[in-house]
Amino acid sequence: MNTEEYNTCVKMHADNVYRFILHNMRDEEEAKDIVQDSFEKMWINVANINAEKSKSYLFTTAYRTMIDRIRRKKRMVSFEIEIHDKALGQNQYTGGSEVIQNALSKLPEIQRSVILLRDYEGYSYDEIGEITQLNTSQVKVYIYRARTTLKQMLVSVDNII
Amino acid sequence: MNKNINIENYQAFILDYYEGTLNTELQEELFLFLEKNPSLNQEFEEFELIKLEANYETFDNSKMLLKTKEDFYLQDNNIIAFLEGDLNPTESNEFSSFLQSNAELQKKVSEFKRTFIKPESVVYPEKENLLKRDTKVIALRFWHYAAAAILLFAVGVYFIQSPDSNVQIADNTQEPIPIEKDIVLDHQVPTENSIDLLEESSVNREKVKIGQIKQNSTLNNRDTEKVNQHESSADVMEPKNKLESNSQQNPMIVQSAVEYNHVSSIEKSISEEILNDLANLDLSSTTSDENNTSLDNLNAIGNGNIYIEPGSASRKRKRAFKIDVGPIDIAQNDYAISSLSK
Repeated sequence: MNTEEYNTCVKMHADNVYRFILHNMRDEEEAKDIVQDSFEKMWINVANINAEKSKSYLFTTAYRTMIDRIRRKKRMVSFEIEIHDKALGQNQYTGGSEVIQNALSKLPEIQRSVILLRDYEGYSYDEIGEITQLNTSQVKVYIYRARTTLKQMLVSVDNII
Repeated sequence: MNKNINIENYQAFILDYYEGTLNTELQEELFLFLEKNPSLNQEFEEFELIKLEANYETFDNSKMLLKTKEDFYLQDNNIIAFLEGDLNPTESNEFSSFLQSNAELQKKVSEFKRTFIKPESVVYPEKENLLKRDTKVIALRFWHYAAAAILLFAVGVYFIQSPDSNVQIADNTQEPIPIEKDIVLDHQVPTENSIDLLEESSVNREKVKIGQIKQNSTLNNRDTEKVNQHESSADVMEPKNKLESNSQQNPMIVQSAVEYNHVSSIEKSISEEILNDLANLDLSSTTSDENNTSLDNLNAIGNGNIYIEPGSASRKRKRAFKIDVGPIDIAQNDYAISSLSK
């Protein structure tokens, strides 16, 4: 992968990976940081990356970076309050359908990730498995569970309205 | 005794015996083991009695459990599978046909369709920062080297031939201009000549070189240290001592009050105040302690140093300003201020 191919990857996929992380984290600044980190990691290994696999590499890196951050935060118990406050703060992402976003935010982390990769990026089960380090069956199960949970949430919201 | 049968596993051999799966050789070994362990004989004999008889029950509602293919496709997983495209072509066709006729299935499919999140356009705002540019090393050719050499040569020649190259920066090491011997800053009563010369020097105040003040206002640290050393050694707060140790070769330190926030006004103010103070200086008063107190701004004269208190009380808050003044050449009506510090 050369510089030109790297830049093409930036132009083609930066928005997508940002959207993926943004919907997972729901924090614009955090999402920007992760995207930047991911591209920096990609640039460091640019010589070893096949251009055709660049998108997969990028999403895999971004996903793992995000998971690392989430786990690091979870370890910091006292930091949870801040996360909660942050979620209510100015960095909170409020785009998209509010109902869907709220439902998404209530999904377990892995289910949210796989369904976003599936619906936003159109990845196959195998590709999602590669990114999330799950086997195909596990990906399928998570997607099915996520859709079932989302459906229940959406229907219950409809009933309330 | 066979090592295969022991107190830990004999029950498995007993079970095999009663189920008829224990061969003759092992049966003999089992009986031998029981002979050597008579306490287990009762367990062996009672084992036969432990046998459950099968009861036959009927479930009348079993028909309710039967499912049709329609029911199969009504399952959430199969609806998701249909929408995900995971059903094989046959199943997919069957599902589609049921979907057309089954309202419940239609409703469920409609609900699950909502769980498929439509991608929205999100723009990463800092994309430009992620782009990289190739850094190319441009080899210098011969004419680049030649041009650089010519440029360096031209600059060198310019500095060598420039008249400004002989300009010296004023500092305290400058050779002092000797003061006329008739002017003596001492306890002795000055002569008329000395007073006249001093007054003459103050009248020609326009000759004070403001440029020198500006030049010297950029006092470096080394000069500051020198001033401080000089100030401490001269002990400017004790005028009598200084008067006693008067030396014409030492520079004067004039400390004046000037506005802190305006450098240009500082320079102007200092130059004016120096000259005013010098003009008003009554050297005869320095011979008397009583007259010393009558001086407006000058408080001390000694060892070639003049210390001027901050100005009148009507002024706002001032900040002391030191000027290191070279020896006054009264004959030339001129003096050099060799350093300036706050």
